[in-house]
Amino acid sequence: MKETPISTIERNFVTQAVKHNLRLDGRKNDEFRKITINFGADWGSALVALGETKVLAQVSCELGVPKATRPNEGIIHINVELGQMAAPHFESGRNSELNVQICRTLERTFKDSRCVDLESLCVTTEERVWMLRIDLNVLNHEGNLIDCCSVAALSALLHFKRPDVSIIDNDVHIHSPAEKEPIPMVLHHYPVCASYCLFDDGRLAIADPSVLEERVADSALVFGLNSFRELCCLNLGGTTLTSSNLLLQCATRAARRAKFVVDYVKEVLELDKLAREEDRNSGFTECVRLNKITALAENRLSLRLRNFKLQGTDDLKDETAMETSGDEEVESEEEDGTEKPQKIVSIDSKSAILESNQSNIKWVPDDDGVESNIESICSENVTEEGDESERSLSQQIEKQMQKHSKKESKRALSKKHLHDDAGSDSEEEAKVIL
Amino acid sequence: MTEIVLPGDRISAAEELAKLKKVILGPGLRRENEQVVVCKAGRLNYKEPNAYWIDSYQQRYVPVRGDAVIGVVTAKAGDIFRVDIGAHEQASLSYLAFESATKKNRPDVNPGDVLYGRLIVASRDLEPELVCVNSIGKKGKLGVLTDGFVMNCSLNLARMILRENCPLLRSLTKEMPYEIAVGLNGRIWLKAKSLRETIALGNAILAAENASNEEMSKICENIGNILFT
Repeated sequence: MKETPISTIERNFVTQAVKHNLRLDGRKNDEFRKITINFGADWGSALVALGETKVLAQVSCELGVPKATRPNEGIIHINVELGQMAAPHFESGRNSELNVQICRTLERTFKDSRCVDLESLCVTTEERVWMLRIDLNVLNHEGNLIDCCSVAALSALLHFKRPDVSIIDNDVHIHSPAEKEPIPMVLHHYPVCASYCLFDDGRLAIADPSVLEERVADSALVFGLNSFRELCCLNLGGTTLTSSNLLLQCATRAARRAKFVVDYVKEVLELDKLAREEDRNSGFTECVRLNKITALAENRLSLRLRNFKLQGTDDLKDETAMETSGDEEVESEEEDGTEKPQKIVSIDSKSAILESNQSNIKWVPDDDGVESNIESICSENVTEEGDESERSLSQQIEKQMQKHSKKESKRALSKKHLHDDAGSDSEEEAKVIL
Repeated sequence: MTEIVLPGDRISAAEELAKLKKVILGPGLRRENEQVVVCKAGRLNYKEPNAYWIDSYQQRYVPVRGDAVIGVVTAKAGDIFRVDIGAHEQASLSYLAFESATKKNRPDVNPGDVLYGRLIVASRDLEPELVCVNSIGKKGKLGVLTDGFVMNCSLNLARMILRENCPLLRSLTKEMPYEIAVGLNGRIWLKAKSLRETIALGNAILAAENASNEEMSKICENIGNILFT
């Protein structure tokens, strides 16, 4: 089936509305949609909903032969499935442009930033390593697939545990979970993506675009960031000119968003762990029973005023609360977590109208598609504190912009400071106060 | 009295009535020899004196002759326009099917335009065909729609708004002035004084989908309060 064509009046309406600081679904320009994460009964399966966009992620592993160039490192493969279930105009089985773009962005965010400790996946050098496969199945497409996929991939990776192995007489024996406790993944840092769409010749940015906004926008801007404000991936596609000022402000906001999302993922993981320790039922069936997974994540109105509340929503919530009398604690905690984004956003009442007042800004034209992808892995020293880290982020981006204008090599090789283990995360985060 | 029916059910009341006079079968009902069989799940409706039909929730539009629909022009192909009306196939619209259009005086319609037209051909084997004039060659309320916004909704909502006894639009007029065109293909064109009012209007209409008549006026008041405070 063909995608429904977009009419001129819709296009005009959306661009006009964005210019007047209005969004069709009542969000503020820099407001993201609500994110919910549910874990399956198996290790490494997660269902993530960003508004109505839904992605199901499953991590699996098998033993394989490593690459000759990297004999002691495991292999990660990311696969994104865009079927007709996501949107009727997607064709499954054929690699569309969007599919490749999402896949590549995720690869840059997760593989090229070296967030997974690949050496820990090695069983015997040059012979056997674990090959991880992250399958992302898009269940519903309502805009901003990249963000949703990245969160799904991250939470599935963090949730995943691989079976333990022992080598007896050059023979690898894989232990079942009953024999030996499965081993969790080692992640050095937790990257997620945050997308923006640019309007009005690159003078306005809106966060977390819906389908209509995505299609109308001049260009899309995707940041891959981890909770330490390090840039893992930056993708700028489209045709508009972008001021460096706007780019920096978006990056700062995206970093804040990344930190929030990562904190939320950790929180949900913690809850899941708790539930498993207490031998409570977990998994999707339980979520469905508790009304946590529903066909529509929220009472959705495609057009919506900011303060509008659909009557009866409150009653519905009460009902679900009553049904889940056994898990009241978990429920309430979860709700707290989901409320957070609104709080964070409301603190910052300034919306994302970011006019560039500098006339001498060097505009970076997006002349050709290949070069428009500013591609880089950047990780500077992260032990810096507060404002310094902010400056380092801006340096990273400026560096990339220069690189781009000079059309030099695509990879910026910068100092790498990778953490030895994920355990030091909490310490580091305490230092980097945003 | 409403009755829920499932595909395969027989409507004996209609069969009985058919013995006395002509019976009209609406959407969801089919005649097989002397039997009236349901082919869609939903609520059975009856209207005096002789009409039966089934109300069901549906998003996909199936063209029906005589329906007023909203479409998006996708291409100009020779002397016809291709119009997307959300059906299985694009509809065609002749350039002569506009008021006072002649071979020399072509209407100004471009790809991307939204228009309000009426279906004159809708058969399962033929391409649907639209016109933008009524039977006496006047445009009436049909034609190209400018400005405003087009939103999608379920077919039921579109039908509900157009029902004579629906209080929704009447109570909305108390809150703000607006223009509206409702296509039976589940598309609604809205235009109010400002962008915010247009969004408010759409919000009220979408929120009224499952509301009773009293709730509708409450929603409209609520929208008015949010809009002008």
